[in-house]
Amino acid sequence: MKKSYVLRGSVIAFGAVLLVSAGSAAMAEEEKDVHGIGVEVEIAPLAGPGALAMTVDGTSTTLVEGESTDLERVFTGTLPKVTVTDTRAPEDVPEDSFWYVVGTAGNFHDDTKTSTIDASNLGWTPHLVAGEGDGTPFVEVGGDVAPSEPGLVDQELLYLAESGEANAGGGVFSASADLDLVVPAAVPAGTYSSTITLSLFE
Amino acid sequence: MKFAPAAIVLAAASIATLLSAGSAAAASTEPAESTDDVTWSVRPGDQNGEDGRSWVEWEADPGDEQTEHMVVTNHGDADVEFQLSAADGYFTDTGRFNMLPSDEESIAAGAWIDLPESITVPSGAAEVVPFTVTVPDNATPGDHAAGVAASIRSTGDGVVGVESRVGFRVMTRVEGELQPQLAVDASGSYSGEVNPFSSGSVDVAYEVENTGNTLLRAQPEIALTGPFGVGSQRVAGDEIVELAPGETRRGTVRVSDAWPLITYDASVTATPLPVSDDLGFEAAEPVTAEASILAMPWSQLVVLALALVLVTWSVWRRRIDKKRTERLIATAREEALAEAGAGGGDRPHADLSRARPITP
Repeated sequence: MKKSYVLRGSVIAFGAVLLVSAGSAAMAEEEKDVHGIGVEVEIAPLAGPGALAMTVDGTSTTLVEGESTDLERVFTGTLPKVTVTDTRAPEDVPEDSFWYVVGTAGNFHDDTKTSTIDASNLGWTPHLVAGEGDGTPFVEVGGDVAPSEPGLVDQELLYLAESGEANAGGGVFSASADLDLVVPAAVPAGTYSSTITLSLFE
Repeated sequence: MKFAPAAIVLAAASIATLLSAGSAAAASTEPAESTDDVTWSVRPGDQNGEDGRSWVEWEADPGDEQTEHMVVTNHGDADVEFQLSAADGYFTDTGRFNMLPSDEESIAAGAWIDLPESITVPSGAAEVVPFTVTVPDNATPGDHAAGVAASIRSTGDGVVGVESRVGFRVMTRVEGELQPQLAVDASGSYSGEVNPFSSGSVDVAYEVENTGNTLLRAQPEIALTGPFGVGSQRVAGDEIVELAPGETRRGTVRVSDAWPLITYDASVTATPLPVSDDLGFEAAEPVTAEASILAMPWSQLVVLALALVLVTWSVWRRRIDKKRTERLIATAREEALAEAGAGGGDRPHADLSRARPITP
C-alpha cells in the first residue's frame, strides 16, 4: 500500500506552522510588558519673587544656500538662541501652568512685493542648548518641522513639560533651531524677507 | 534662465557682526539697538505692579469697558523700547494659546483692546502699562480670546527678521445665553496581524468641534463593541484642555487586543466641560459619533482553508488507497483462482467409487 508522503509532509508542515505561530503570539504578549524607570530629583526652591522671562540673542538671521538640486533650492540658517528663565518660587507658579514658546513664520516677500514664497516652505529642527540650572529634564523642545505643508506655523520651540512641584526652583533653559527653506528652482531671484514670530505665553 | 550670482539673498548681516556691535550700548540712556541680549517679562498687574495673575479673565456685558494693566519688566543691562501689541487669540492644534502675528489684522477680541504702541523701559526696571478692553454693543455672548504682548522687532529690509514677544491672554466672557456645545465625528480602520494567533488593533480617528460660544474642555471616550457585544473595550482619548468656539481638535486612539470579529462598532463620546471654575456653566449634554469598522479575519480564514484542503486531500487519499487495496486484493484473488482452475486436473483426489464401508 503506497502512502502519500506529500500529504503527510503537508500536514506536518501545517501543524508546525500553527505551533510556531501560536508560540510567537504568546511570546509577543509577554514582551509587551515594558517597565518604566522612575527618576527623582530634589531641587531646592529659590528665594525671592523671581520671574518668567525670555531672552533672545539678536533679532535677525541669515539663510544661505546649501545643497540645492536642479529641482529645488535649499537654504539653511540658524534661529537666534532663545532662553527662558523661570526663577519664580514654587508657590508663585499657578497649578497646571505650563509655559511654552511657539514660533510662526510669515510669508517671504521680495522687496518689490511682487513675488512671494509661502511660509510653509520653511521648516526647522529645534534642539536644546545646554542650559544652566537644575531644571533641564523638565523642559522639552518641539518636534522637527519639515519644509512642506503645513510648515512653520504655530510650532512649539521650547516648553515646560512638568509643572508645579516638579518645577520648584525653575532654571534657565535655552533652545535654538536649524532653519530650512526649500523652494522650487523656478522661483524668481531677488531679496526676500520674512519675519518669524516667537511668542512666550503661559 | 540664468540667476544672478547673488541668487536669492535672504539676509543682510550675520549674527557675529550683530553681537559684537551691541556690547557697547550698556552705559548709554538711549534705547539699545536690537543687537544686545534683551531679557524681559510681561505679566498682568494693577497700577502698583504685578498682582500674581498669569492671565486676565473677566466677565462683561456688551458695551462694558475695563482697564487692565500690563507690567513689562526689563531684566537686561540696557534700556529697551518695546513694541506693544494686542491681537485675536486662538488655540493651536496642540492646544497652545497664541495670538495673531503683527502682520495680520485682528477682527475679533483683539480689536477690543486699546493700548499704547510702545514703551521704553529702563534697565532693571518695570513699567506698568494700562490698557482698556471695550466690549462692543453687538458682541455675541460667550468666550472671546485675545492676547497682549511686548515685543522686540528687527528693523531693516532684506533680513529674515525675528520678532520675539512675551505676553499673556485676555479672556472676556460676554454675558448672555451661554451655549456649551460640541460636535463629534468618528471613523476607524482595522489592522490585522499575519499570525492567526495574534490579535490585531483598531485605530479610531475623531474630530471634536466647539460649535458653542464658550471655551470648552472635553475628555473624549471611545467605546468599541464587536458583534453581539463580544470583544468590548473602552479607551480614553487625550484630554482636550482648551477649545475655543469654532475650533476643531483631532485625535486618534489605538485599541489593541482586538480580534477580527468581522465588524466592530466604535462610538466616540465627548461632554462639554468648563475650563475653569470661574468660567463655569450648567451641565451640558454629551455628544456621540458612531462608526462601523470592518475587521475580516483573513489570516484565520486562510488557516481554515488550508486545514480544509489538507483534510479533504487526506480523505480523498484514503479513499483512493482503499480502492487500490481492494483492487489489488481482487486481482490477487482472480489470479489465484485462475491458477487454481488451470492446474486443477493434476491434483490428486480420492476415488470414492471403490469406497467400501469399513466393517470390523
